[in-house]
Amino acid sequence: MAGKVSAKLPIEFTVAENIKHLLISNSVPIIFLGLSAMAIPLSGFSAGYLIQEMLTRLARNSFLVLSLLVPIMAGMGLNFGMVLGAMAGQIGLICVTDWAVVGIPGLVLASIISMPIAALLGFICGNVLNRAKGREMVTSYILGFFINGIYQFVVLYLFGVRGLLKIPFTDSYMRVPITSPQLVLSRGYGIRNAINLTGLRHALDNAIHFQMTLGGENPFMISIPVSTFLVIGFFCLFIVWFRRTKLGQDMRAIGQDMAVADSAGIAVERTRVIAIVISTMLAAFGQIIFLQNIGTMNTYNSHEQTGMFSIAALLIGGATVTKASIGNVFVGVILFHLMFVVSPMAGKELIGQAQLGEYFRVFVSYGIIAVALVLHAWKRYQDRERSRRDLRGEA
Amino acid sequence: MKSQQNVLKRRLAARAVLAICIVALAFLMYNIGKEYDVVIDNETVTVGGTEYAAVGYAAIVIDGDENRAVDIWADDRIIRKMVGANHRLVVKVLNEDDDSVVKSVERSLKLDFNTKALMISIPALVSESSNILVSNPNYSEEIIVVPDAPSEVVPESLEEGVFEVP
Repeated sequence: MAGKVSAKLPIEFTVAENIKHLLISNSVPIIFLGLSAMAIPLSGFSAGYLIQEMLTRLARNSFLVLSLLVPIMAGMGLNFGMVLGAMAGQIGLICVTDWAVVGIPGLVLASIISMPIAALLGFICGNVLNRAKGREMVTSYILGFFINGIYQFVVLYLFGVRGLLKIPFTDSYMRVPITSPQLVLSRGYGIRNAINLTGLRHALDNAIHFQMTLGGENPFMISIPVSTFLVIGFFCLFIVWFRRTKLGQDMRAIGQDMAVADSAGIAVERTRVIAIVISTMLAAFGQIIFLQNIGTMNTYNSHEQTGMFSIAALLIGGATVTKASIGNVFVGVILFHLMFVVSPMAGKELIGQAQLGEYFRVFVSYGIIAVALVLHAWKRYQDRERSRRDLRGEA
Repeated sequence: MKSQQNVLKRRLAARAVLAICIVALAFLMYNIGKEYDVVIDNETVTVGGTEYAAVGYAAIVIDGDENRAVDIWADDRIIRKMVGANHRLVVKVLNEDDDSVVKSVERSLKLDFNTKALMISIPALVSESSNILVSNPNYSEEIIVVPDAPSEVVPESLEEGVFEVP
């Protein structure tokens, strides 16, 4: 008789082990939920105020955080280079503000202008990351600083009525013609630090918005930016559809194992570049949505914290460096921004200084990324042990 | 080999069409969304050798929006923001005592890049002159630059980020 094949019985974990695994897998959102539960009563904010703030922040930030999902799918970790897309979006907004194009057409035009810039920056970023396989996150973080320097040089010295740098052998000056006195510094070149996006403020939010009254004894009114949520919903559907396309499947295969994907005939490097280009372009759109909600653009600062806060929000939502879902995005945005809103007042009640809340926000943003990276390494070890036990079966 | 070339050609053609559509969309958005600052003037003016006296009191309705109608008196000059190139102007000359409508004139307006250098003359419009645009005396193409102006509101240290409240 040929060798018997004995059926392997799956190892059964105890309830306690399953609970432990669940708690470890969702440790970060659980911690933040606990912190929020303590801070909300201390802050003294009403339910109506918090609900309105969370709706506003969901509409403002979700698109940016959703743009991080594609590189994670492709195994490239957290894309700190999304700040490149944010810069491209801001350049689009500067052009549109100079031309005085307002409303939804202004937002669409800013998006169209930002697309080639974001695509170029994403292409550069993708190629650089291909040469730093395994170290994508730190590489994209530093690349963000480098491109930030170029962006600030371009916006500070090449945008304006007159240029600073002369084109050799000619009488002309290098410049991108921006003529609006509201944008250009009085010296003739350089964009002002703060730009008022009057024509674009809440253009998308107010396109379709809905107001409702909640609460019985103490009613409060909330305003829901339906059009913005429709755009976000459409983007979520796009991500779900994209995962099922060939390109999406290729990215998932690369994310699981690059060597195996390469052996299977997938153009690994090209696909990784495409993932970063898509993420950068989506970050450009996200930054435009973000700034139209804020209504004011800090030319030199608005993009700096974009990557950090978006990544922190995604990690707080329970995502890891290798795995993230749409649910993680929304949970993370709510929990992260809930801390943003309540921590200054909670700090003031506890310590007597609202400034504590500011420090806490920054500490949370950097700290959660560090915690997530440590937890990611630890969880990988735990998962390896768990699957090893599963394969071994009962001793 | 030939089918592969055909696939490449079709892919290139599809991408070219997509790029052209996006550029066309950009131009469309620019035309639909561009906001013009339109100066409306109610001073006595001479157009084509004919003098048109200022209207005593009038109401101006832009694009049928009666709720945002604006009143204008003799020798007044106002600025209105209009989004898009094509508009409809209705000027109602009113009786100063009882606000009854004495005369109503409607005119369609097409704005373009030259709009900022011109202004709409209410007297010419009310008199149904063919040309209602007159030059704006306050408009100047010259952009005043102060070369030695200190850099204003640019952060001293660009290395320190300012934590913006999101």
